Amino acid sequence: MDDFERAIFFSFDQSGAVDAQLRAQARAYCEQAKQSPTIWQACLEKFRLSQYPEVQFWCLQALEEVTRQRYRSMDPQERQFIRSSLLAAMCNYDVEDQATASPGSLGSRTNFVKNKLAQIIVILIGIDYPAEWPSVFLDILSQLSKGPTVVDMFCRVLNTLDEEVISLDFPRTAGEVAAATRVKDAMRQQCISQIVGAWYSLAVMYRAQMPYLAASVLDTMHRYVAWIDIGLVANDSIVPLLFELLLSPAEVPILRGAAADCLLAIASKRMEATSKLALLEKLHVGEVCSRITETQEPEFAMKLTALLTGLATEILDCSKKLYSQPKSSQTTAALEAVSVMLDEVLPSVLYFMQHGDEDMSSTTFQFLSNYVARMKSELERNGKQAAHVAQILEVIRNRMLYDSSSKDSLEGPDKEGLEEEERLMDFRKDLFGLFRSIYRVSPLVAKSFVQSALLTALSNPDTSFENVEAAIALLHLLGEGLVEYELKSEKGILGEMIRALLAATVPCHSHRVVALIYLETITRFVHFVQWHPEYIPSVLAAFLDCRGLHHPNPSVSSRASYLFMRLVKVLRAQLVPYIEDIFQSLQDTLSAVTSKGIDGKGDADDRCYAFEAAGLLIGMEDIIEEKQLKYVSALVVPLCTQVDALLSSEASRGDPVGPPATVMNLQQLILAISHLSKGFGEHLVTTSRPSIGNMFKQTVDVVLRVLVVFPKNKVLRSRVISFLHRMVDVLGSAVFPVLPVAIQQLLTDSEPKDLVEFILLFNQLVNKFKVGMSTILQQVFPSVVGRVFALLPKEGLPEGPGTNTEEVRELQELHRCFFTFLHAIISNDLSSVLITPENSQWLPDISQLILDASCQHKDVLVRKICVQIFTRLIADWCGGSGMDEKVPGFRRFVVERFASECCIYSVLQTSFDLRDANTFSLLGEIVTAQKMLYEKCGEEFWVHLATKLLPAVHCPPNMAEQYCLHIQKSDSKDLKAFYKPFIENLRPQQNGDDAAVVISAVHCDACPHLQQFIFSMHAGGCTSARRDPYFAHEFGRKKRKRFLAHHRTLMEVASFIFSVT
Amino acid sequence: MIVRGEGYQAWSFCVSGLKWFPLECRVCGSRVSKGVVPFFSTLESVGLLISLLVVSPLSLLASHQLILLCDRCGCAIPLLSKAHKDRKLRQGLIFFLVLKQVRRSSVPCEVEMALPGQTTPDNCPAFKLVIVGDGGTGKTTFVKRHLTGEFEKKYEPTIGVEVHPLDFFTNCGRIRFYCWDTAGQEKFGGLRDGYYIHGHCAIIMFDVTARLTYKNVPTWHRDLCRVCENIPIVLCGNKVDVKNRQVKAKQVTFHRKKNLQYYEISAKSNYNFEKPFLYLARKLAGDVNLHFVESPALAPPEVTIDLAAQQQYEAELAAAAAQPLPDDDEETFDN
Repeated sequence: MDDFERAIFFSFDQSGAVDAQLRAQARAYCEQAKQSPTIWQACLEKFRLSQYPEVQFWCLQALEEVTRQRYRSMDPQERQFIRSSLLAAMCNYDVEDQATASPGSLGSRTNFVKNKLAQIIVILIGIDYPAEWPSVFLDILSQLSKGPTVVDMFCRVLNTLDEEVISLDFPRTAGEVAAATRVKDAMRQQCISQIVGAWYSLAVMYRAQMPYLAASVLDTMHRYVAWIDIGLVANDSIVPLLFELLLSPAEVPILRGAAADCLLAIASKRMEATSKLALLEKLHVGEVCSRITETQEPEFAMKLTALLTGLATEILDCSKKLYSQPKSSQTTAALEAVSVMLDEVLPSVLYFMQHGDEDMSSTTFQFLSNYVARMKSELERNGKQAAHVAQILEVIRNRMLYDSSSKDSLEGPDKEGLEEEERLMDFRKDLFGLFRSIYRVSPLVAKSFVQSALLTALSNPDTSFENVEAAIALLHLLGEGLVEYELKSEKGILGEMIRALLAATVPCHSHRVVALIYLETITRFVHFVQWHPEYIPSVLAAFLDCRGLHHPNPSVSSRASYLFMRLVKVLRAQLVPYIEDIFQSLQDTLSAVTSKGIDGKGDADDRCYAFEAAGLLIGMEDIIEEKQLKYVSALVVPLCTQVDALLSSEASRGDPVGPPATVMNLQQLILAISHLSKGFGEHLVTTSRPSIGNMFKQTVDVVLRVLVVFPKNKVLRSRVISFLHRMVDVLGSAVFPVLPVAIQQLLTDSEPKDLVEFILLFNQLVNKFKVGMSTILQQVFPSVVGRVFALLPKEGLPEGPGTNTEEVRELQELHRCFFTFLHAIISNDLSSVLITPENSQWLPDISQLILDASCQHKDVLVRKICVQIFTRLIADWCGGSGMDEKVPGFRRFVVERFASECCIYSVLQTSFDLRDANTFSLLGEIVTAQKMLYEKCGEEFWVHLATKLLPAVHCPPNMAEQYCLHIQKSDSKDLKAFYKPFIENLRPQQNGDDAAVVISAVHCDACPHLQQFIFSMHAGGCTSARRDPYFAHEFGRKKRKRFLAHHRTLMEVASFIFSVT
Repeated sequence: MIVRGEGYQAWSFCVSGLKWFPLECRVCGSRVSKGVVPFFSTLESVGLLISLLVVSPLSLLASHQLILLCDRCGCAIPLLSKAHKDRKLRQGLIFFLVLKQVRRSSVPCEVEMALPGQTTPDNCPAFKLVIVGDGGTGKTTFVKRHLTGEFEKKYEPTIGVEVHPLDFFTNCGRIRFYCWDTAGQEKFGGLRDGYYIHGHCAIIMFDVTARLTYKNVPTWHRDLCRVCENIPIVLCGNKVDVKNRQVKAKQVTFHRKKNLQYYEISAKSNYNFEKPFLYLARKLAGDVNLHFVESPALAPPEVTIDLAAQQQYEAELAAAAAQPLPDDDEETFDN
């Protein structure tokens, strides 16, 4: 080992055996060596001589860098030398030691070195073939006789060529695509038939002696089928060979699998229907399918399924295409042939669907769904197809079963049970998709199938749990998307099935999965019970006894709580006579939910739905006030007491976050009160029965203490916010007195996420109480805005790769949310809040922020909101004459900046896609804003438009005139109709953004110095403008995106410019 | 029977009585005959053998009783047949011996997965796990969820890589993944794809909220497979907790083409954290029934994933996908 090798070794060392400093030195040495202009010679030499894979790999890496960076600029002789050395490395050196190696070896080089070598050869092919290196493939072909090592490399080079240059599976630039086309064309012309010939003879030669090598030859072949002449492979020598390999059980599975891949590639080759049909006939599809039914080694079985499904899909495709062709005796005959073929493949496809691995089935499902959909268009469904459908349904039922051996682990469920459940749920997605297709094509067949499955399962008390579950799950599936009235009028099979289910004793009902699907299914068909109230007692029983809420398994009982709530929501009025019973039965569930030390099993949040159910029941006005009050206090008082107790306990003292157990408990308690309140209407609570209202008001006081005791707990804070959302709905203005305290607590130390939640709550308040919020808003506004501006980065939100982080997302959310906040304020007649003496300092920042967003926020809906804000502000503030402006400077701002940047420039950008529905409605808002501008600012706007704006965007005078006329005369609908073609006609006038800047500089009355600067900037690129805020302002008008970073400074600059000029 | 080296006495008894059988390489077809092991002469090749075993050990073990002798260091690697009664012992062998052997071999064939200062506990098989994917897809966040691994990680500035030893406890004992995380320096220094060398398994990560990161998956896969042929690979779509995802589950099809395992994960909420490791452990052990007996200590979730919503969403998607497409053309807004 020489020094160079040692250095490479040290730099590669991952064992820690080499001292870090030494390694750093070695690395620096290697890096330096790479800089040498003759490094490629050294590397070629070293690669040939060194016996260490790491050294070989390093040399190849260095060569790779050379070929990518410097190769094109090297002189032809050097390039020639590199090429021939690499080819020699591929074909010669390794062969030398083959003599000493045992037979069957593929040389001493490790695979990663071989692959790297192939990669470099392919890079050179990409650059030099065919112009400078026309002989490469012929050279390699001539060396194949040297033995398996070269054959192996031959395959690797072709595989790498496929991956690095040709295959469409990788993202490629236009230049790379062109290179790929060049290589393919040259190969087609020059050598592809020889290569195919080589593949054939190599496969034949090595199939017995080295089956793995033969398999990799076929693997290479299948990658190339898509773009070479199909006749080269679909012929009388290769196809029989492939079939022979595929069908012979004596071959190793990997070789059979490779043959399957090749056949699939041939069958999937794109061509028109009749030639495809001829090809498929040539492939003797039926024969293949009928002969393979034995169980297979998994990997091969997977490829086989892919082949069968692929063939079936191609046949189906053919039939579709032929069907749409004009009728003739030829097409009829062809269709006949297709349908025969289809009948031949289907049994095998179904066989594999029945027995195969789950991974392999997704394409099969796709095919079967298509097949079923196809039958719809065939008017007479013949007996054969009906039989196929029946078969498919049976397969679906069989495959959707739980594994019977996991009965016990599913009961718990333990880890294995959960895994089985997850596996099956995943698999059922596909199965159910297929079932839905059948149901759509022929609902009756699907329904009667489910009925017979259900009746069979229910009639025998010994039916196993998995069969019961599957039968009910199918019924559940039938109920998907069912509309209420369908059940009302349902006298048919569906009704019979539900009756049967409700009346029967379900075998294995206590098993978790059966109990769950039973409850889910009843809930789905609740409207049936609504129309057939005679079933109410039995349904209630199912929920309230040990099959539902009192099921010993917590995961069932908690789900039952949720489903019970859904049930009660629908049946509410019909349940009045049963309230007393239900309440009694619920009592222990309700107290268990919030009691200390919940076992944590099941979903605690789900359990809280029991409170919603209770609330829905007792919240009806049909219940007399006295009784209602009794119920409510029976529920609310213990909850409040518990909250109180937790807050006053010793453990909570001095801990701003709170002990986890307490926090858990508090969450449940708060949630319980929120849920309970959902049953009560605002009218009942505030007007007709204020005593109930008082109960809830007390809860607000108690719950708000949570914020005081645990000010730093964000989870609880967010729970309290949702609670307040509820209470605003229920209590209405009665919630008012507590707001100042709550708000103050919620605003302390708020992060973007908290602030968003707060703003959402505040929006609700503003929308509900409107001007009533004025005083509170005035107090809150500065702190919210201050906080928002402190959190939003001054240089704008980061964009581009790597900024897709949670933090940035939260800021984006806040940014967006802030506009909804402003929108809520302004649309509720509260815009005066923005211009109070305390708040007006924020106005420039806010208007700039809205302006930026209205021009270029990537979400069109946000832009719409911003334009609406402007429209409203213009209406509120720009009335009256120019002298006594309500908000000084605002009129000028909207006329000069909003009117140009948002209404004209942003719309003119090609990214403003007028065909997009949302964008089109944004355009409508912009038109409305312009109308409003004209209405309020009149001549000032009109003159600015006619003399500055429109000329600046090259608007021809006649168009400008028309436009101004429309603004004056038309209503917004006509204006919008005019505006769209106007914009479209104006777009071609724009000669890139830079030019527009220059033009606008000419037309604007900026000082000559400024104009001068802009011209020079335009000539010299715009980089330094970014650093100069003064000038960036002018640039910023059009290139706002780039200069967003400066928008804060720009505001100052803008006012400066305005004050100077 | 030749058994050399310390630490092998314990299992030597179970090797006695085995016959010599030639071992055939699934990839190249070369045969390893008794006494002479030309193809497996370097440790890299032994690494390959391991990959062969771990990719499909059952098919190898089904019909063969194997023993392999390394001619470089003379160590023997016995592999029991599938028919051996004690399953645990069998797995133990595959687990320990092969890998121990790899790590014990002499320089320069050394395959050491840890960094200085990291020591692998006795009887704990260890694997080098390479994590690749575009920057910002959450690779680092992902490995850092595992608290012991985070605690013991070592940063190696000269390679620009952090190696986290992540331990998992299976029903067959503890295993360790040395997770090689490039920490955003995907194109560092002179190593580049050299850093994949001797990887036993890999995770390719993309971000379901950034379409481009999924588009680049094939490239990552290609570059990885160039260096590590036939290793088990898991494709992970991260950040599924985010509401507005750009790459829907239905759109992820790459794994089917390449026969990889796909998992949707959310590093922030620990959702499916163990899944990729369990899959890899099963593949590496060649035992589909292997399972974790205790959960690793994870950092508490920073966001909660709404599973019900997720399922509902997926169900809706499935239902929507099953609906026929409306016949009418794209609506026009030219009125």
